[in-house]
Amino acid sequence: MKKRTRTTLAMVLVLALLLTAGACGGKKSEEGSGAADRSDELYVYVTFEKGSEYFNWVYAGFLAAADELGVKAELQGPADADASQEAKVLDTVTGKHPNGILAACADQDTMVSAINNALGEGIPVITCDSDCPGSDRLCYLGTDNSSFGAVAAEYIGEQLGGSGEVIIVTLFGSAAQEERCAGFNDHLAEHYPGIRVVETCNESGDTATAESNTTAALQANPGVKAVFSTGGTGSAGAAAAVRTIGRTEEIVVVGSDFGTATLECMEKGEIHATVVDDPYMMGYQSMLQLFAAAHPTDIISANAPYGHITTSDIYFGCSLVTAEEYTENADLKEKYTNTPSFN
Amino acid sequence: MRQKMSSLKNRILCRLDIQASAVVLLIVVISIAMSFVYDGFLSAYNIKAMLMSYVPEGIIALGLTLVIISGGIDLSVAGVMPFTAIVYCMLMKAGVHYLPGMAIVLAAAAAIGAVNNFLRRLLDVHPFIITMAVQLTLKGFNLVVTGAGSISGLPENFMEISQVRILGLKIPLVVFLLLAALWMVLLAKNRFFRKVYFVGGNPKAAELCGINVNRVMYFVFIQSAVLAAVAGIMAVFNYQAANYSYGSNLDTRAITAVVVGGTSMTRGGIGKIGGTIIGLVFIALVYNSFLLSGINTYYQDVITGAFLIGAVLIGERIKYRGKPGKKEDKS
Repeated sequence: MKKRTRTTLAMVLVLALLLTAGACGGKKSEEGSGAADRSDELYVYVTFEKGSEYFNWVYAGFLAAADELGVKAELQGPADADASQEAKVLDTVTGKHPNGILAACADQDTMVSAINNALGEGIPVITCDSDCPGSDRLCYLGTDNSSFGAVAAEYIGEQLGGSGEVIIVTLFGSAAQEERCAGFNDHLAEHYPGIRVVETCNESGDTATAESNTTAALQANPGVKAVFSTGGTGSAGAAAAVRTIGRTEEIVVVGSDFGTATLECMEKGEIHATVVDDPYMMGYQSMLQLFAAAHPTDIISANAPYGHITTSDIYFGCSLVTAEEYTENADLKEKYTNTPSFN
Repeated sequence: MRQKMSSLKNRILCRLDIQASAVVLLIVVISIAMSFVYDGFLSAYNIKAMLMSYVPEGIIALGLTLVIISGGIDLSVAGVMPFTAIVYCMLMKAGVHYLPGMAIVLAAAAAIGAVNNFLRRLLDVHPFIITMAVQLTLKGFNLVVTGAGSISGLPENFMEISQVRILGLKIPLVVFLLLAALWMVLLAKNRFFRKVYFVGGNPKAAELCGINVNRVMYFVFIQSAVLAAVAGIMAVFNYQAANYSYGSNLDTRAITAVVVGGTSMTRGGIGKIGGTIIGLVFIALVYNSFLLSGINTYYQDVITGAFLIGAVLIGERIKYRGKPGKKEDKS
């Protein structure tokens, strides 16, 4: 009896040791397997003019980085540029308690309370493309819009030979496009003082409005030799206006971004060049920053209690693509014609 | 016995608004489904966010309910709302205290409402045309005065008052709830408000009964514009800024809430504030559910449009089946 008890006890001990060893080994292998399961993490990109090609490119980059990191991503926002609607969306999204929010702001003043409210709920918020500097957002990623305008001004200056009248088509109220206008005007004033901007008209976030307003501006200023659209939406509208008044051969049209309509106009020779930045990279890098913000390490960051992300803004460059370059370069065509869409 | 049952059935059917009941049922079904699918749906934050998200539409829908009952329409609200927000901010930035500033913009809105009705009478055209023209004019004005930007940096005393919470609720939400209760009681009990039903149902008969139809119509358009102005002031309370872009498609959303709630656009003299509130809760719930579930919000307009068609169908094919349509009398 005593022997049987001892044998049983020994078996239990051995089993316990085996189980402990197994458990330890299991834990070790789990630690060694690397990445934790982050499939429940959600990052939301809130934008205005949801569905526009430009913001779809941003979201494509955002989504690609999210896939790399193994987290979920979501695109939200109003289809128009109503800042109050966008603030409303951001407030509702905050209720979902996502791990991070990226916002492109329709209006830098209106979005302040919604962004601060999300931060107050402990959600890291960063901005891209259209900033909200009055809020406590952690950082901003965007294009150097002043250079963007200057690139267009340099091309127009060269094409016009240093003198002539120009019209700007822009989205009134958009901080990013206002910076492009300022960069354009400053560059002309400094390098091509003989070129004068005779009118700045509003595209209102709509190609048809851009066309009608540009047509009116061209009719009022028959001496105009060039048109610069600071945004992608207005580019095709500006080209259509020049076509409407039958002066495609005489007026130099410079667009922005690489929307399908802009590219078609370039192929037809109605837009002579477009200034492009890299919205895909903007979205990709924004996701990486947001992920870092949502994952603080043991070392306290400058953005505490959030993780280690930059406290200064990040600017991306831009370049000019002429119609000739675009039509002759198959790689460029391949890149720009695969426009992402999300339903 | 059978006669008694039939009478009881008729009485129940008489009291039960089939359209409002259908919308309430949908609200309950969607709420239950969402609370299962999404944990935070019934959280205090989400309920407050859902209600807050439709405050401007809500305040405007109260005024539009009376306009639609009277047989008219007012699209100028989508211009009045941002116009008021902008002028209110400009006045405060010019040193006017927020209370007199409020009185000034409300008076300006009342004048716009009066102009709406004056032009409607003078030109003898449908209010759709006049109020759409006023909306466009105001939107253009908003762009011009703001330089297409926004107005912010408001005085400290306003910033403080705009942050006040009453029973944990933001001021715009409290204002909407109070106005909804007031308009509901007035439209049900007040003699002058009740005249809107008579005018909407048959303006000629109302005139013959001694009702001053023109006076009632002035009142209808003025209260609509004033409520749109309140929505604009509340937007400033909410965002501490004003921007020309506010109010895009606001008129469509508010009209949808009114019609889904049972107010008839095809027949005047029919509608209730209670129905409008049900309609508002419904569209706010649909909006909130889309955002929470992460479904593309493009489908939201499809759903809302489908329900609008459904509401009109229920109204025309079931509620008012066999009843005479709206008279085409002019006031």
